[in-house]
Amino acid sequence: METQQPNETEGLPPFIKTWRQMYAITVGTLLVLMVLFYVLMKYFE
Amino acid sequence: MSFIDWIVLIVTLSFIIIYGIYRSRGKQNIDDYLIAGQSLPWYHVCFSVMATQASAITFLSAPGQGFADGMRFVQFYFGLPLAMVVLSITFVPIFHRLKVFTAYEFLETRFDGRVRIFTVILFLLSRGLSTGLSIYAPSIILATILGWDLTWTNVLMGSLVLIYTVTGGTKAISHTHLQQMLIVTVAMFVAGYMVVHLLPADIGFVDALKIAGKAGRLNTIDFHFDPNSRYNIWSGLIGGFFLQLSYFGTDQSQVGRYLTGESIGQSRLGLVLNGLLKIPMQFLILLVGVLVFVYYQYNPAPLFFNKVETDKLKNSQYAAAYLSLEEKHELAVSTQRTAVDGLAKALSSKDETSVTHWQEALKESDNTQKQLKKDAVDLIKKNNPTADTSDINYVFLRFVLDRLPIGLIGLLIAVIFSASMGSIAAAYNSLASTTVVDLYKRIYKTDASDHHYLTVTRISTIGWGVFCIFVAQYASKLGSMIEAVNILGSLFYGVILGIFLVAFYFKNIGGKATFWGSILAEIGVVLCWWFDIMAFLWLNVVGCILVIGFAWILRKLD
Repeated sequence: METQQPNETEGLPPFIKTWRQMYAITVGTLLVLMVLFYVLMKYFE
Repeated sequence: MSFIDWIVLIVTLSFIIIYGIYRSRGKQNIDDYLIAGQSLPWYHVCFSVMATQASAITFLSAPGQGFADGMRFVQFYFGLPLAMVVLSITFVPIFHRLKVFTAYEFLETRFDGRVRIFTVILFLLSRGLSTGLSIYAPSIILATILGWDLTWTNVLMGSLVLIYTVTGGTKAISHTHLQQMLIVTVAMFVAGYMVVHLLPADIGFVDALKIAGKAGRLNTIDFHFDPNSRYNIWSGLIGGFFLQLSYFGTDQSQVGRYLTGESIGQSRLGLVLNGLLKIPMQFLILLVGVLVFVYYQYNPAPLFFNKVETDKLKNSQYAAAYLSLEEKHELAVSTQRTAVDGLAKALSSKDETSVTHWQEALKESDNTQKQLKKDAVDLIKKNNPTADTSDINYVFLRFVLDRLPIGLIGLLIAVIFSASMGSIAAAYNSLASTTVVDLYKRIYKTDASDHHYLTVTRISTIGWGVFCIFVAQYASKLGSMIEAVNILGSLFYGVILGIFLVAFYFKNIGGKATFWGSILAEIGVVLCWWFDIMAFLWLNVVGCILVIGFAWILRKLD
């Protein structure tokens, strides 16, 4: 089967230099969302 | 439904179908038909995987879940962003580099034909049956509540998508997914706005959140670990991660969506953004349900939202018993109104003692109403053992039909159809591509022309469409089998994921060990389910770990 070498920065949004950074932002956003949900729950409890 | 609602519904659905056919016009080869010639940008990938995952039940059941159970269902999606990261690192580059049409082609490259065919059979079995249910589930609700004929609703739900799926293939599906997501998002925002608008004049959005919070409906995070509880942060992060990884990584209905990306980077970005957007989207849908709950604190909610079943009950030998329950319900509703008014006043005056008092009164009224609903369900079951008693599916649609203005009703019915069409189209396409690429081309006709495979894929799409409508038609007669088919995904997904993880990460394990390991693992998962050892979400984790464990033990076989 034919193989294709990826351009490691192709597809990245502006201001993000590597996919590692993009994944860190994804996991960080998940943590922020969980904290926000917890704060929302506690605030209105 | 009014004439204007019908016009809105017909125009919306016609627009989606015509747009899908228009955007995929021109000569096509098998590459275009199955993976859109790998030409689509990240936003197509992102919204296509979102539309594939979001079925009609998402928009019918999730607000009902918010109404009855609060926000805790959102935790189910916490594993999704993590799964998207793992997919982007491992699955996407391999599938792209090998230029495969289906995920299962990779398994033959890595192991042998036997593992590939075994996995394909598991996929076709689970996806074929669950797509039938994806047609049936919204059809039964629409047919019940709107008085439509169930057979024709099933046929309509299952066949409308065939028009553009057969003619335009993956490109048509992807373009219509964009339109469907746009319509769905706009309609849900409008619905949320309308619920707040319908609240009493002195109750705004924040007041509604305060009341919902005091009634325990903003329960977004639960740290308590309980393997038998479906929704807590641990089952969401761990069980959800495995479920989403196996669904997105090994289910062709999703793999086929991100294989359309014009490069590895575009597919990756689409998936990662799906991981970021899905949780807020699900949060908003649940929030609409919570706002509907607040609305019904100020307005009398029916004891049971499925009016067809209660009408049957009123004409049965249980009529007197049901009317007695309704009287008790009216009393509870009146107590609830006093409590919610008291709570709103106490909240605005910041009188903590009073807040606690009215909060307790509101919770007590809520518990009374839940108990009365349970008693009503018992009566309905006594009267009709096959009755649909899952009332949360009817909450949002009943609210839409009773309270929203003309035009918006048609739009929200169109949303249910759109969501259903999005997931069904992707399922038909994946079933047909897997049948042709992994079975027909692999076993029966290995060297036919491109045009021949294209024609066979189109015929196969129609064939799977007819099969799924047939399953939908007989779903009501399956009785308790419906529950079994609902958890079918969890019975097979973990094992399929285990096979793929062995392929990616255990280079010293060969085809024979993986094949027998996966069969043993499947038996283990079925036994866990049969003896009801754990909540179904954990079956994905067990299936995956068992495949890896058994294949590791048997690795000397190769």
